[in-house]
Amino acid sequence: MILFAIETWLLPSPYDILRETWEIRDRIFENLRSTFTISIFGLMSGLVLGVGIATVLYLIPFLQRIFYPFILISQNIPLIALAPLLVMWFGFGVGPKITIVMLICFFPIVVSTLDGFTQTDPTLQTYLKMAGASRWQRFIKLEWPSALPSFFSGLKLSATYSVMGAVISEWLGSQKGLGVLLTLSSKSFRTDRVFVAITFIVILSICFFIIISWIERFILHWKQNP
Amino acid sequence: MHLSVQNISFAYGTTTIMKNLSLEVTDGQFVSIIAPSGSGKSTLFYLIGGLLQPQSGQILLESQSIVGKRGQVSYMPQSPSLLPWRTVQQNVQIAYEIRKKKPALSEIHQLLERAGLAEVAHHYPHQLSGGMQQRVAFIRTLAEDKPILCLDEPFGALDALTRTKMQNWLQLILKEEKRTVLFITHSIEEAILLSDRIYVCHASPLQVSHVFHVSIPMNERQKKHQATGWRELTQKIEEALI
Ligand SMILES: Nc1ncnc2c1ncn2[C@@H]1O[C@H](COP(=O)(O)OP(=O)(O)OP(=O)(O)O)[C@@H](O)[C@H]1O
Ligand SMILES: [Mg+2]
Repeated sequence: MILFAIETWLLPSPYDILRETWEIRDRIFENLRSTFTISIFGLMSGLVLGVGIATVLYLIPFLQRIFYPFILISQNIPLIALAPLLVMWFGFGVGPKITIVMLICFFPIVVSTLDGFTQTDPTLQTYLKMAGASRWQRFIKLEWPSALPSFFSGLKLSATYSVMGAVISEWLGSQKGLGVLLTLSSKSFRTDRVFVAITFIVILSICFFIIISWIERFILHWKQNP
Repeated sequence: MHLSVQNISFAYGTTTIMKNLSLEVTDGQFVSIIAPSGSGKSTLFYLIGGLLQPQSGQILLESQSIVGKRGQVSYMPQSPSLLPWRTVQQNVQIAYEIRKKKPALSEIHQLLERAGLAEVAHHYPHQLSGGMQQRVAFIRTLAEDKPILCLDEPFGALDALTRTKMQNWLQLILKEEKRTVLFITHSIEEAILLSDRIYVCHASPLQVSHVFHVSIPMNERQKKHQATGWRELTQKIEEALI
């Protein structure tokens, strides 16, 4: 029984989506690989940048007071507005796209890691100081491990943003990628393909999330067993 | 080994915590400090440990000033202080890492063995009971290998039964590992059981009011109230505290 007769071009059935997926599997694979590359490299560089900035700002409170407000403000610049500029400066290659993703990803990592450092147990801090641990030893042996749970929350957030960032960067000019598949299909009213693209974007995001959760569980295994 | 705290005064901001406090600990002694809660006992350890600096007075270790110098004494905090992401063995290991010394695994194993912790060497702190955790913290303090151990109410958070067990355990360990100890407690019984000398302090400002020598032989102390001289000493300390 059909309650609402919806046209396939408005809302395709799951079956239609699956069939279309199979139909254009080669194209999907190619596009997926392109989006995956941009997101993973963007995420990685965002991770390095984020951890680096968090470390420097934490260890040098003076710099934190100066630069943290700027970092917060920088997040109010809509990246979609900044993106065309990057494309103008650096061209249409992968570089600017990775940069966009990096700029989206580093922020949650900086905030969550800095927040994590402040979660350090003051008793442990006192113990290590009294034992004569150097500033760097306290950072490596105490503050970093204390910040890890919070850091991973930020990383998971960044990972989901990274795929979104990659798709947006592809809209700004690209031949390949799930973002391109999305816009091309929507322009030609291939709703089924739009859904295929959306599905794979979601799958990619979820995969990132799951992999990071695994790494987290592996590294924070001491938190698991009751 | 000689630790000498000479006429130190300290205030948090405008709140005076201690004034002209002096005490001495000499080689191989077990010295206890009994003082009211919140009177500044932990603060005294932070001063000895170099975390804080006295406004006046001197702290000497082997006739050298250790004011503001960290890492000169071994310290065991009042609250649980094991790193939750490290196993028992790794927690003891940090004592070596801080000194940038290669941790001798055999040495650590020997310590754990003697402390009855060999079976749990690879457990995480949250898998241990409170008493076990304090044992590990104590072993870590031993492994720091400093001339004096500063123990801040190590058994304060434990239940009475575990506490008694831990006191006996500490006595046994110290019999083998001859160490000099400065011990904070609020239990008169605990102080008499373990100490050679007891400083009784009064608060605001923290100052030594009485010093007691415990002359009851070690092997008789297990009997507690039945031991000769125990009751009298307890009474004297109680009076001094009022
Ligand atoms: N950082 C600080 N700034 C200001 N006041 C402090 C600070 N640390 C402790 N105090 C105060 O100094 C006093 C002594 O504190 P301290 O912890 O040394 O006492 P204590 O004798 O060890 O107490 P307890 O019996 O609870 O272990 C307390 O009244 C406390 O509130
Ligand atoms: Mg205290």
